[in-house]
This record gives sequence, structure tokens and C-alpha cells, in this order.
Amino acid sequence: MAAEHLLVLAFGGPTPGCCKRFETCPGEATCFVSGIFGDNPARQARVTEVVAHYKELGGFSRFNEITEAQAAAVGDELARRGIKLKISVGYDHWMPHIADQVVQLARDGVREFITLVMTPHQSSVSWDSYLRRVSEGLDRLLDDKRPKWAGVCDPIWNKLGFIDALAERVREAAGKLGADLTNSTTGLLLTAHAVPMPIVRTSKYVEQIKETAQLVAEKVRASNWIVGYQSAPSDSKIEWTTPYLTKAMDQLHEAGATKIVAAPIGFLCDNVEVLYDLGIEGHQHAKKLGVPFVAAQAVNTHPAFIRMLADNVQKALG
Amino acid sequence: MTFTVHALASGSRGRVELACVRDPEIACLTVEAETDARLFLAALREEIRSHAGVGHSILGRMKSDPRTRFDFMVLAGQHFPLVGNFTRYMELLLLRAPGSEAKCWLAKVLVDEYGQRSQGQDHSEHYRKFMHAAGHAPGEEDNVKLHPEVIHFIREHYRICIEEPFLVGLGALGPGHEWSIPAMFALAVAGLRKAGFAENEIEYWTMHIDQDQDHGAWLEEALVSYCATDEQRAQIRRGALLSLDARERFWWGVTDKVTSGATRKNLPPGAGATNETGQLTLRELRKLWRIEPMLIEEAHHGG
Repeated sequence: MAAEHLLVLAFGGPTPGCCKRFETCPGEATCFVSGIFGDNPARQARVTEVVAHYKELGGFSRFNEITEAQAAAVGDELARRGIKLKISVGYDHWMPHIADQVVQLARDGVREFITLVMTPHQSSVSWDSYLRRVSEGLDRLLDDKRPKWAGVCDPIWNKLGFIDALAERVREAAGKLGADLTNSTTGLLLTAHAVPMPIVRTSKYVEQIKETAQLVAEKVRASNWIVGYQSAPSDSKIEWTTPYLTKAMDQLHEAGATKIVAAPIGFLCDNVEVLYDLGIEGHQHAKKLGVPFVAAQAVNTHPAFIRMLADNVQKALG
Repeated sequence: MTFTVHALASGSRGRVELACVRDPEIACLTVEAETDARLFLAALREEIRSHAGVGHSILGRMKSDPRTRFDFMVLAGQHFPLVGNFTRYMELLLLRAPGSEAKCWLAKVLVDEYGQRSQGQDHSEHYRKFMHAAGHAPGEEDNVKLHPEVIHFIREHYRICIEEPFLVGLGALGPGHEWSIPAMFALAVAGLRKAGFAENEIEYWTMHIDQDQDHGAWLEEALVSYCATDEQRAQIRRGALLSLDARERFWWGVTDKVTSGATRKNLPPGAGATNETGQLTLRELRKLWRIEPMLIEEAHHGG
């Protein structure tokens, strides 16, 4: 029997509506961020710092809206290919939660499903964390009610459609600055989420990011490019992946960049981290350096990206 | 030693009657010096309380994002080596203690570790009981592949206790452990209860919250004598922070294992993000490591 359902897994972001985790709602952004760091007085300062980023951008995230648009677009693309598949989306850190969506599959009578992980690079705190939630949902079900988890779509860090979509986003952004990427006076900053070194040690996260960056840089024929990491917590005392994005911008500048184009290659949608860290922090740092700066969109629903995801789902269906 | 201290923990300058401390190596503290020492210790406590190693998300999320018994089985496999080695760090540090003030504190903690206040069972035995409740087979507790950060934590503490100045070691095992563990374990206990563990299965954890509060209080009295100079304070603080940095790395290692554990259990090899190739077990580590005090004899250049 072939899988009849695709469950799309993603990090999630706060949307209007109380999650009911606290008796008195502290606001969606606070609930979301403290859910990630934990309800712990030791991390309160960091929670406040990140919540302020959300508030500066309106208090909510478009993460879920964009992810759901991506899922719908994949469904449409599959339908065009004659593949009928029901699709639902679950989040690690917001409603609807992945585990709840797995339970819902059982309620809906789904017998077999596959999963698509919406993160381009693999580490335990993203890829494995979302998959763990699927296990959590299955564990809540009695054996005879449990749908079969028939497979996980391949990771996408080096898939052509992803690279093509990223390259086009970079070119669009460079166009806004009138920047020639082949000239070393244009610095290309390719960013991904920072992760702590203990997480890096057991996965291929950094290698995968480097490969994505290399492929994108080759595609746009960039001559002065670098990978930078963003969103590392300010209160951590240990080493995270480096260089941090502002240091990476310094390095581009030192290598001759008089304008900088940034692109979030480690993110699949314009979430608050992308919009804040690149759109605000990146701009502020560029101002200090005295260079024009533009941030590219994430891939979002770029057609090449969506077609690649559909290929990936089709392959997992067998 | 017979000093009496009144209400200095709040930072107020209370009346202090101070006789000479017992160790001849340690200078008598003036009232002002003792007050400064206690203020330093209060600030250090606060720094420890808000350290990202103490407030790691794997602990902070245990209330809102309940963990399963399986998750705790994975966690226990990584945590057990720390439990088993703690006594050794203390024994090594005891040998280097410059005077009886520190020796007394280390010895008091050690007899608890050996089981004095836990029905004669040492803390490793208590931990094994918890591990069995979490799902580890008896006899297999030390046969778990360890995250590199678990090994780093142990290695770093041996290094601190053997190579660093004594007060750095005291800072690591004292404030770095005794002042952080009650806060960390209180969060863990909330998660353990949510996961359905019975009280008798988690005695190791609940017992430590109480005992370490005692150890922390005894420690504060012992530490006051060692905080007379800026250099001493810097060494104690450095030790505490070295330990907590290793702790933050440790919790990330545990997060890595716990998060990928379920994937590894439910999916074919290769579907997950991590791999355990080359990781050692505690059993293997014991064969590779030899930890012993050494007699180091300088060459005699006389006459």
C-alpha cells in the first residue's frame, strides 16, 4: 500500500491565538520563545531579548503562513503530476504540534504516511527534533491505531531546485543594489542558524551548509563570498558556529567588498530570525561599515524550490 | 575555628565576631575582608544561577515539553559517567587541599557521596537504581556510547583537579557543582515526575537537591576563608565557570543524544541527522584511562 498522506514538519512560529500554556496569557511571542528556551528564570533575560525582536516586527511570525503555502504549492504540483496526496503541516514549537497532527492522522483513518522535513541542513536540534515529534505522536496511539510511517523525504541541502531558487533570490537582491556578484567589490554573505559546537560534532550540519554555499556561489559566479552564522544566543558561554554574521560582514569588507548582498541559505522562509538578524542587525552593521546592504528573500514558494520538493516527495512515495 | 556570623547572606554588613581560622596558612580575616568575601560569594551564586549551563533548555523545557521514560533512559546513559567520576575528582582534590578547612568540607561531601546519608548506598548505586527504572538492563549501565561532550566534561574536571591551582578545583567542585545542582535537579525532577517515575525511582535526584543545599551551605563557610585576596577570588570564580562551561556543553551533548535517540529507535539507519561512529562507552574509557596521584621528585642538586 502506498502512503496516502504527507505530513510536513517544521519549526513553527507564533500566530495570533493563545496556546493555553499559561493561566494568564503573556502574549504569543513570549509563549513561543519561552517554550524554546524553557520556563526557567536563568534564561529570562534571553527570552526577553528575543521577544523584543518579535515585538519589533509586529509580535507574530509569518513562518506558519509561508510553510503552509509551501505545502499547498507542493500539493498542487503533485496534483499536476497526477499524484493525489493529502497534506497536513505540524510544528515543533507552535500549534498545530507535530505529535497532535500524527494523532489526527489516526483519527482520520490514515493508514500510511510519509514526512517532509522543512529544514535544509541536518542537525539533531532541527531535523531530528521534528522527527522525534512524529515518534512522540505514534507513541500516543495504540498499536492497532498507529498509521505506518513509511518514510522520510531526502534532505535537500544540495538539491538542484533548492540551489537554483537560492541563486535566483541572490540575483534579485543583487539587482536591487546594482551589484555585480562576479566583482570582489560585491560581498556575498550566505547565512545559516548558528548551532553550538556539541551539536555540530555529531552531524554534517556545517559541511552541508558549506556545500550549499559553494553551490550557490558557483551558480551566481560570486568572487567574494562567505558563510556567516546568525541568531546565536547572547547568554551562551560556549562556542557556537562561527563567524557570526557581523564578523563575516567585516571579513567581506576587509576582502574588498564595498557593498554586501546577504542571503539566508539555512532558512526556507522569511521568519523573524531572517527578518530581524538580516533585515535589522545586518543593516545596522552595514551602516557602521559604511556599505550598502541588501538581504535576499528566503526561497519561500519559489517555483524551482517547490518543484524540487515535489520531486523529493515523489521519490519517497516510491 | 570559632567565628560567628550574623545575616550576611543578604549582603548587609552584620556584626561579625571572628576568631582566627584553624589553618595557619590562612590569614585571619578582618570583619571587612570577611564581608567582602561574602559579597563576592553572593555575586558568584547569582552568576552561577543565571549561567546558561544551569538554565539549559533541556532542563527548562521539562515542565512545558514533557519527556518520556525513553528520553530519560537516554539522558541517564550520558549522565551516569559524571556521577561515577565525581568522587574521584574530590579525592584527588582532597590530596591537594592546603589546610584542614578545605579538607573538612571535601571530606564531609565525600562521606555523603560514599553513602553516609543514603542508607549506605553510594551515589552510583542510587543512580543505577534510577537507570534500571528508566529501562537500562542491569550490568549494561556503562555500555552506552557517550557523546564527546560527556567525555569532555569528565576529562576537564580531572584536568582542573590535577593541574589547576587548588582553588580553581575548589571553585569547580564547590560552587560549580554544589550551587548549580539543586537548581538543575529541581527542573529535572519536575520532568521525571511528569514522565511517571515513582518517588522511590528518582531518589538519586531528590536526595541531591537536599544534600547539595547542605553541601553548598557548608561550602560557603569553608570558602570565606579562601576568598581573602583578588587572586583567590579570581581562582574560585574561574573554577566555577570552567565547570559550568563544561556543563553547558554536557547538556547540549545530552540534548543531541535525547533528540536523536527517538529517531534512531524508530527509523532506519541514515534517516537521522547524527551518527555515533567512534563514540566510546564508559567501559571502554575505563580501559583507556589511568587516573592516579603521582610522586614527582625534583632532582637533588646539593653540594
